[in-house]
Amino acid sequence: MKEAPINLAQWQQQFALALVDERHVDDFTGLLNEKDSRRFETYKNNARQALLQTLITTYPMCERALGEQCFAQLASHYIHRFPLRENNLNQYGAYFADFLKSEIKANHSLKDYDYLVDVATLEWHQQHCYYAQDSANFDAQALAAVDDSRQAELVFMLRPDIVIMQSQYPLYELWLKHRENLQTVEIPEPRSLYYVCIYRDQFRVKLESLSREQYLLLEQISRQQSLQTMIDKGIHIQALARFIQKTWICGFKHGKQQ
Amino acid sequence: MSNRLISGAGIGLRIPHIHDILAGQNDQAIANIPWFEIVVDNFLVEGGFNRTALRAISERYPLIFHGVALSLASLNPLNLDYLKAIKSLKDETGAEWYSEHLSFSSSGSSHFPDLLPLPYTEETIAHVSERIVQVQDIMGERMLIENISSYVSCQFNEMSEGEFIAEIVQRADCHLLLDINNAYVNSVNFGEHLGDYLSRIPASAVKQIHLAGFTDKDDFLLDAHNNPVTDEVWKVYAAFIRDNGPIPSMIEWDSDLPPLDTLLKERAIAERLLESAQQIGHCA
Repeated sequence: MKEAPINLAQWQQQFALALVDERHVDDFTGLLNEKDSRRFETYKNNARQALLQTLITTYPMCERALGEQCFAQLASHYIHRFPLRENNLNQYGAYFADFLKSEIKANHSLKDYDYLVDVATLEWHQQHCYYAQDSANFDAQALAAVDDSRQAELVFMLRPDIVIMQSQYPLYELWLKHRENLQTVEIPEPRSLYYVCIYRDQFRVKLESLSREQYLLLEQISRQQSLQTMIDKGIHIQALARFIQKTWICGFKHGKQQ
Repeated sequence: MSNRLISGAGIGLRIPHIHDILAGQNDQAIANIPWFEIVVDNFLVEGGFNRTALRAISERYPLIFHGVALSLASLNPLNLDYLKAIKSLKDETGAEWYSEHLSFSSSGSSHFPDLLPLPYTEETIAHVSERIVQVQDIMGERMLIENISSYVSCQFNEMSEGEFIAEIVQRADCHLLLDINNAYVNSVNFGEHLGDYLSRIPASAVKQIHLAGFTDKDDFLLDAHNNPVTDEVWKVYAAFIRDNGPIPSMIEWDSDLPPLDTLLKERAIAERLLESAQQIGHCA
């Protein structure tokens, strides 16, 4: 049998190149049966639509704020700049917040959308939260059994789905308004700082507004600081019992003795 | 975990239907679903709803796994972590088998959320057969490979798609997941005779059948999985199982997902055709 004048490597490379770079389309379609050539667009469209849909699913608040067309345009630039680099679509879109930041900086028409950088970060964390590992329930009996002399060494562990964020924008209120399907949302001027906790409840991703003290406590817990270290740093630990009760804290271990 | 055998007409499980399925166990049409195929990629997550729901479904129904992201025919190294994760989930849920597409979706560092076609050449057969053997070694069992729908074909093809598939199945000693809709779409898109296509593939290797709907784009058919199975595809399906026996079959629906009830009605049609094929087999 006569060997084909193209090998599998060339076919795959040229197919891939043509999908990501318009300049290579003719090279690839030259390998096709002539009547099929124009159908190559179907593959380009499939790939673009799948990635666009992934971004829409991951960033619904951003899409609503920007509007369908503007979001699709930005997403198209993102897809061009950050092509899919692994087979897991759940991981696609990781750089969208940074991308938005640079786009907003570069385009005067987007100047009012500064807050979307934090919204995008929030939505990426929500994605992580949705798929995060399940955890065992907090063992309150084991905690009660810890000797008083060793309590200061305890290091508490946050549930894998818990993410905390601080922002100059009221993310909790923005999220609530998005849930209520409000089409127009007033964005206040950036002020000091707002704090939120992203968590999963009955498989749904939710947000809760935090005080600065609560945020700092959760931040220290996420850094696996011992109770003693937190007290030494002046962290208010009053909310610890509430976080345990809410099961945001899923366990504890004994840290190093001071 | 169920040990029931896979037979009859199942459904491709989609996340939005899970609640209805778990809540509808008193509904005869839901209780009668003999098995589900899952797109395993949607459940390779650490936790949350998908994993919990999968556990619940696997306690009530037999499962089979269908993958979309292995890039089986790629020249990139096989993603061993991905395969190990599938094997681990398969062990956990007791899924009966694992299938993948006869396609590639990555080249070098570029990945595509699509199933890209191959040139039908001797070189491709050698490469793909070797990859299937590797996958089967890792999984510790024979896998199923699925014929894909295509919109373009290589002008340097050395054989027909049917011959290409038959040779791979024989060399790799694997099973075949015959997607009758894909075969139909390709026969229309490339002006080939579907009867020839089906006569080339080794029917004895067909362990499962996919049925789905397509969209007519005027100058070609798009395998969009967004419509009921067409009359033409039902006819081809009925003839295939009449000639080859009642092979486990299922309805795939991905885009514009309708209520579960629509899929149950499609499933009932497939089930009736399978029962007819069974009766013909008994009479023969």
